[in-house]
Amino acid sequence: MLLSNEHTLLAIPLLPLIGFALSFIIGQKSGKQLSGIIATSCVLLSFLLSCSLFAALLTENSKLQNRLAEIPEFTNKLNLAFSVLLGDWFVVGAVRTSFELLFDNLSAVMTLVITGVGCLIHVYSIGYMKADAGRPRFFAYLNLFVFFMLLLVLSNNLLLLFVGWEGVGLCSYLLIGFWFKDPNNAKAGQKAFIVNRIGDAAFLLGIFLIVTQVGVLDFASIAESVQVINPRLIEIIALFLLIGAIGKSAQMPLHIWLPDAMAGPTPVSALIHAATMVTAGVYLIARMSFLYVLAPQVELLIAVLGTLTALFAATIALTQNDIKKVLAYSTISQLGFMFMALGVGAFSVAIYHVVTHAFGKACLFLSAGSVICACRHEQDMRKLDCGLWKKMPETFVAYLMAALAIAGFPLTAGFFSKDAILWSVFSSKTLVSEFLIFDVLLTKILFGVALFTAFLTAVYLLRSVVLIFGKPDAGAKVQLATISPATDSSEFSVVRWSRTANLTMLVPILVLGFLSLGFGLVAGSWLMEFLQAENLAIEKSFEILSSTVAVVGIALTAVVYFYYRSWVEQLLNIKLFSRAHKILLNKWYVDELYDLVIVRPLSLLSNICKFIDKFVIDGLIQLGAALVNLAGETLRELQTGKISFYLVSLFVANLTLLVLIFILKLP
Amino acid sequence: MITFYLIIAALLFGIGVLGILVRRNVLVMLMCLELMLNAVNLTLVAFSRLHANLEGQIFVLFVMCVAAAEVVVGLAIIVNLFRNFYTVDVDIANGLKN
Repeated sequence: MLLSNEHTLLAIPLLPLIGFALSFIIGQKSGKQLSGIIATSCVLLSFLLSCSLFAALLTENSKLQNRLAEIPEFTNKLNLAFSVLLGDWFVVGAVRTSFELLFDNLSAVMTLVITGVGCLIHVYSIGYMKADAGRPRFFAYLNLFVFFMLLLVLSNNLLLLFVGWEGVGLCSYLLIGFWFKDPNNAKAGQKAFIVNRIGDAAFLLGIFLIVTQVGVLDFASIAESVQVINPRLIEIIALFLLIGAIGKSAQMPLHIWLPDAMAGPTPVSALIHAATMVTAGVYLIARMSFLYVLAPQVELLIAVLGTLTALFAATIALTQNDIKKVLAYSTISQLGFMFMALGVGAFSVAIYHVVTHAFGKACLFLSAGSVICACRHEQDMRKLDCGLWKKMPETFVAYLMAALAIAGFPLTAGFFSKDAILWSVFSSKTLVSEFLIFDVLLTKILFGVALFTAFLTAVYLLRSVVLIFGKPDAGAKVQLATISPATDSSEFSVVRWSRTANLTMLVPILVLGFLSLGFGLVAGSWLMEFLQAENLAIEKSFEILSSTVAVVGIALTAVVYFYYRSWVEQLLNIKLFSRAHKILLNKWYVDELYDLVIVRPLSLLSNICKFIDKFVIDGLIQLGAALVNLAGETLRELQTGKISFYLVSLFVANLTLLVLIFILKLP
Repeated sequence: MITFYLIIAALLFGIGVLGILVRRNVLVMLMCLELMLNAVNLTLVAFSRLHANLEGQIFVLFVMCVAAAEVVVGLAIIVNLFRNFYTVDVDIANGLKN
């Protein structure tokens, strides 16, 4: 715990915040190109500092391990963590909340991913947003997002984490609606924000419960005193935090915002809605793992939910035609895999998958962004059939690498992490410890679904590869009916695009592509050890099984889509398949269901309220006003303004009073 | 004896009231007002004498003071009225009506 390390730790989140302010102020005033450079260099600097801090953590840790090794009776593994206390935020009674940052193994990995991938995406954005007038705003929001995300993973207590949590939600909203002139984009942003609110409310309730139970909010103290909480309450707290995580990580009931969030610029989709923000839920549960270990029922729920989401999103991804929609559903599906791992208690495996998925999915999104840019913002994969792989070979290679990685092609990064997840599901024994048979059966079912989903992953990713980059050559029996009529002009723009040789766009894609390909082989096992993974001895036969599934999926799809695309068409002619296809194309009608069950009744209710407000409540008030008005209108006739009239009335009134009092003897 | 005073006072008061109700000239109306006040003064003095009680006469002195002050203010208003409207007809000054 060196002093300089503390300053470094402080600087990591602060740099993007400074970048946010600078790119706003300077970007608006002078050259707009400058804002991108400022923002990128801030994140780059932050990344370098994270690396140095990470190295410091490693050396300190190994020193500690050496010292501990000299004490024979001490067998526990201890890990250092850097922390920096900025002071108290507020102290209410016994509850003390402080601004304190924590840099331990978990947050170190997350920080490296956020700043590393974030930096690459910033570089990419310089090229991608080159022609956009709103660049300073864009880069400012991106930097603000990185700041909040770093705050989220670096905070040492739940409340500060919540600040980051809400902050990234805000940035997500701002960036989804970045092109707010199209009302659809603005609506997508609102949808994301509102759906996230549901999860956030539950998260907040969870925090409140923790405060009432243990009175502290920093992770270490909660972990210490978690034993004293009533087990029933632990489950409720875990459930609340889970709902928050579901909202942020787009799991099953609350997943609807993520596909719509693709309305934002593609780098945003890559950074926020694939690589970092959506994994905040996974991070939260991994961070609170000590709580979830004590709540096996909730763990089971997480596993089931994750598996269902993975399958559900994968099936939708099979049929979507919009590039970004496919990738969005793929993200949901992969997040489902992470939740699966969390559910069976393999928290570090989930984080491992977060890392590999961040590389792969960011690469996929960025490549898709290049393709979209090159083809005049055409996102429909069916219309891209012009042999893009020849025109954008580097992008194609990167996309292919990342797709293979996420599809789980053997020895790619995604293969290792997904294999670890599948193995943890397969080998997990005690989900709920009451009925052994039930447990084993459930685990096996989950595993089967997960394996099938892994197969689907390979299929839909390869489908996207072939549809985007493949050329319908002579081998293709049938050309799809909806081939773009403007193929020539799009070819022209593709050529022009690649001539402009956007290095800033190409380099990040390739770096991410190679990372997603080679990361698992180079650093995978080391990362697992660093995260103190439960000892995963994956059997060789198991690896063969899962890689076979992936390879078969990849090969099958590639062959079918390259040479026998007519089969797909014919398959859709069968009634059963066409009906299933229609359901999947419409995303299982979940949006429509929500519309029917929640939106319509709510709007009906609000209409009734509006009616009552307008006619009953307002009516009463208006009636009172009308009566007063009427009285005034009548009485104003008496106000003639003539003194003589007033005097006469005064005289008459006095006379009347006199008569009443003295003659009629009134009291 | 007292009846005589009271009749005079009643007559004066009646002339004052009638003048105020009938006339439009604000100067005359002010004079009628003074007439009514003095009618009341007369009754007060009369009763004071009847009951051999000086309080009534003292009260009359106060009324006279107030009447003098009232005339000062009233005349000032009338002068202003005339300056603004070039008339002393009260019914012209009905600006508050609307």
